[in-house]
Amino acid sequence: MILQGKKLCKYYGTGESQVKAIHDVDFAVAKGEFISIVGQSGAGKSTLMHIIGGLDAPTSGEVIINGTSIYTMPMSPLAVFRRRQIGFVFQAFNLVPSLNVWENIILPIGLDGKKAEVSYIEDILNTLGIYEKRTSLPTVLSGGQQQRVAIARALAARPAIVLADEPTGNLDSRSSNNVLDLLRLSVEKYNQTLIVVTHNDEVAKLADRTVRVVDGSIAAEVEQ
Amino acid sequence: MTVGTVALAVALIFVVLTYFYSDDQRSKREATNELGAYHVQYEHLSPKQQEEIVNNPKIQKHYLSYNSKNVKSGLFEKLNINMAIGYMEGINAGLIQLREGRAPVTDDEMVLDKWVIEEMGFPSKLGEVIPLDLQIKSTGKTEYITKSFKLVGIVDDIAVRKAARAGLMFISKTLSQRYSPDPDIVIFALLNSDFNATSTAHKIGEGAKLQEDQIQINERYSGAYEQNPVSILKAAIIVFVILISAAMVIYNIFNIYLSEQIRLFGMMKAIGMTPKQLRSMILTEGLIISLAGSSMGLLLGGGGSTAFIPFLGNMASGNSALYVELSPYIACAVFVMGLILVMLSVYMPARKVGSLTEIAAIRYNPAGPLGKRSLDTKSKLKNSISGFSLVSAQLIRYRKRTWVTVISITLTGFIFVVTGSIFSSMNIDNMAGSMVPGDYKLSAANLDSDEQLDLLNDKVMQQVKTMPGVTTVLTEMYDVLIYNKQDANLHLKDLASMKNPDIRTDIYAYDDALMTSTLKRLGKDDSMLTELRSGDNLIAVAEDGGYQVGDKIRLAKFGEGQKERVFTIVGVLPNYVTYKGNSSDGGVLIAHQDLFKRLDLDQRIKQVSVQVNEGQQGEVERNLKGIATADRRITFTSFQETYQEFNGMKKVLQLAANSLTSALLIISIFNLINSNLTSMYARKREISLVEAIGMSRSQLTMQLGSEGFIVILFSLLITFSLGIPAGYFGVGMFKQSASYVQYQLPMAAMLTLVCAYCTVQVVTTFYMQWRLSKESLMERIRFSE
Repeated sequence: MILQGKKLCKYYGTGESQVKAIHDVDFAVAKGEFISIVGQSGAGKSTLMHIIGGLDAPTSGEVIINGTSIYTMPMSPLAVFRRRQIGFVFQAFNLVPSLNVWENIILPIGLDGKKAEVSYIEDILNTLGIYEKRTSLPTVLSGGQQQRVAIARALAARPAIVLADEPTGNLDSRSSNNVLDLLRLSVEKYNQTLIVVTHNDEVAKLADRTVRVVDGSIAAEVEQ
Repeated sequence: MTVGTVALAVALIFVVLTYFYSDDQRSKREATNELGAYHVQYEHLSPKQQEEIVNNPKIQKHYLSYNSKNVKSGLFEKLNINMAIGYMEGINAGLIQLREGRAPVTDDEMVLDKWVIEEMGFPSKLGEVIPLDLQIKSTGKTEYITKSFKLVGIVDDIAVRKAARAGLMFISKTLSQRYSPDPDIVIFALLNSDFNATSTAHKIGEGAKLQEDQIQINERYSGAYEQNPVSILKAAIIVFVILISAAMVIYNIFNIYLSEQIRLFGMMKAIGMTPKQLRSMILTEGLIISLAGSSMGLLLGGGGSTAFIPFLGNMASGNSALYVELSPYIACAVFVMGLILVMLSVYMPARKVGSLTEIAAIRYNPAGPLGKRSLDTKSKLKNSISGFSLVSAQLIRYRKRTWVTVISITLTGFIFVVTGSIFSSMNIDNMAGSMVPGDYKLSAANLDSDEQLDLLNDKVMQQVKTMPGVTTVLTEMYDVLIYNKQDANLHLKDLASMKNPDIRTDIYAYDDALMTSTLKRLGKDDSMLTELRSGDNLIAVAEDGGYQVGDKIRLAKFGEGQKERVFTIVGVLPNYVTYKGNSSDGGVLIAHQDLFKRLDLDQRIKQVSVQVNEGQQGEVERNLKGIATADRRITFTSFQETYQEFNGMKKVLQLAANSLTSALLIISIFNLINSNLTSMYARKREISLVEAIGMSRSQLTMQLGSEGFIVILFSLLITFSLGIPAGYFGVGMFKQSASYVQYQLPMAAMLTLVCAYCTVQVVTTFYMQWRLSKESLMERIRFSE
């Protein structure tokens, strides 16, 4: 298993006003697997993804990636671990507005003090169809283009795991299909593990396995 | 936070303006106490000129003074005191600051300096009867009388006058008129208006056909009171800079405050709010914040002034004390300024919000839109991106915000450096140190008639040199030379008013040590000492313009048929540096003692000054006083009071300088903190998402710190590039009214600025880190989503 979540809990507040966003979740993902996490709005799927991605520490429980319990690590080594092992695609794209497309994509590599493999990045850009936009700033791109840049950035550092939170949430249906195809194509091509959070059943059906989250707990897991 | 920032900015303006107002009041009090409340004195007046001036409608008050130059006293001459004897009006009105008592009314009453009374051997007590032997020259005759005067007033000691042995004796009007039927008349005039007082005073004098040198402006009083376009402009610039700095702080905070709410405004527009309604809602909100902020600011400023200004006041004493002077006009003006600044700061973002489409507002990124020129980057694509690339992208692509920050920091820094230049150039230490060559001195009475008398002879000098505690002995000789009239015409003023057929020039001869220290004041090295020793070279003591280095002048020894000799002026010292008191018509020249030997001039030591070990001052003072007591023709002078007076003056100047520069530094620091924090809050989400994709804490510290340091470096470069020449220019302008000013690079101010900015940057970087760590990454990324 490349990723394991053990007894994960995430609670907000205390006493009667306590909200159990995630409660007692056990979760495992094999290398190269494509998993979709589905559930209604507020079910806790994004919180689960943030916890397994090392962005939000659980109230209790443990996340193990490639044999490392990530929340036992101090903040800085965790940041280094994140940039090397995990690629994120956020729902709201989250590109750095002052950097152009190219710079946004190679940012995780640059933060690691390494040089990007230009042919590899160009290959991703060509695959995602945004090569011509490589010198543009994010503000002039459409939503679909920005999402593709976010996907390119997530893939650029060749992370072991790609986490995508509602990658098609802000896109029209045509763009959504394109992005998903590209995402799937990319992870297959580069042998990466993909976890997609979505409330869209069509998107979920593309995955090898679907995990349904209801009220902060895993209600069902369905192999496709 | 928004209300707090407005309150702080308003409080800052209030404290600074109250400080200026209090300092202005202090300066006026001090000026009036020191020299009296008058703008100008008109000297050597004819009866017609006197009448014209007295009747000039632009003069509010005038005081007459009769200087009885024809009256001398043997006692004063014996004590080597140059006394100005005469009548003066306005003593009771405070024109002359009396320690106690009043002006003389009857012919047997007088007012004297405290130190003069003591040197005469009388207690400085009102009612004391002091007999004086007077020589009254009138119509070619000299009358010798002895007259007793009752002491009815005592003048406070002024250390500079005391050191120069220049005393004051006031007598009644009738006695003055009786002794001097044709006195030298001086009028002290207080004008109706302080506006352009110097120019008005000159015009009044010129209207009465007075020469330029008959018009003496009371710089102390005019400096404190006069308002002219330049002084108004100076005050306006200072207020403008403070306002601009405060405006930038307020604008920054409102910009970010409204930017954070743009999505909400977009939503309101989407549900039907018109742009006009939206603008008026924002402006009303701004008005409420400005009212609350300005009110809080006034309270805070009032409290701050009451705490801050008396604290500064405690550092000075006497007339120089700084008391808090709260003005209702300043309070009202600051309150209104607070309202205007906030409304102006709100108006621009409100317009921007009103003009955005609903969708653009809903999708608004609080990190700020980029300019049109920045939509596409043409730079060559690299295969790496360093932390510096992130920093430079941030600064260059958000250049508008970067420029606002740079300008804001530069503006206050610029004023700080210019002010620092002026204050560091006011070399009070030099002034006191030059006028006072040592700690104590012994002077021989000026008894020209007795050529055999050598009061400070070898025996006395040996005694002085071997005194325990004496570290340095500095000696002066004195003689008189006769100036060539043709040359005198080129270098001296008022030749027409000179009554003596010969133009006598005082020439002092310095020993090596005294000459070396004098040359230091001139910025010359030891090679000049050799020139002065071996050549016919002299230093002239004169104000600007009288002499130039390289001038040749012809002088002859005193006496009939003496041959003239050509001397070269190798340096010019301003009067304040080697203040000699009253001089002969031909002015004062300084030579090396070797020249006196070569020319066979008077080689008796006339004055010896000593520098003393700090712990042995009392012992040396007692021993030197012993020499003076043994021979009353030798006068002992202590410079301790002079030093104290200069120290007091220096303290007041430093106090004013430090307070103003501190206020400016606080504004600069406040600006920098505001810019840093505003930038961080605006980019909170952006910073967090870069952290999410792998930026470590140390990289974040480097990024935030580097951004700030680059802005600081850039701001400091502009500040110093503009501030140093502007400071040099400012010092040049200031020098016109204060001759002791010598330009000094404001190193202390510059270092303070660099250190303060760097410290603030380090502290705010860690504060920002701490603030960010209080929230989880995801909370921050969701910020303003």
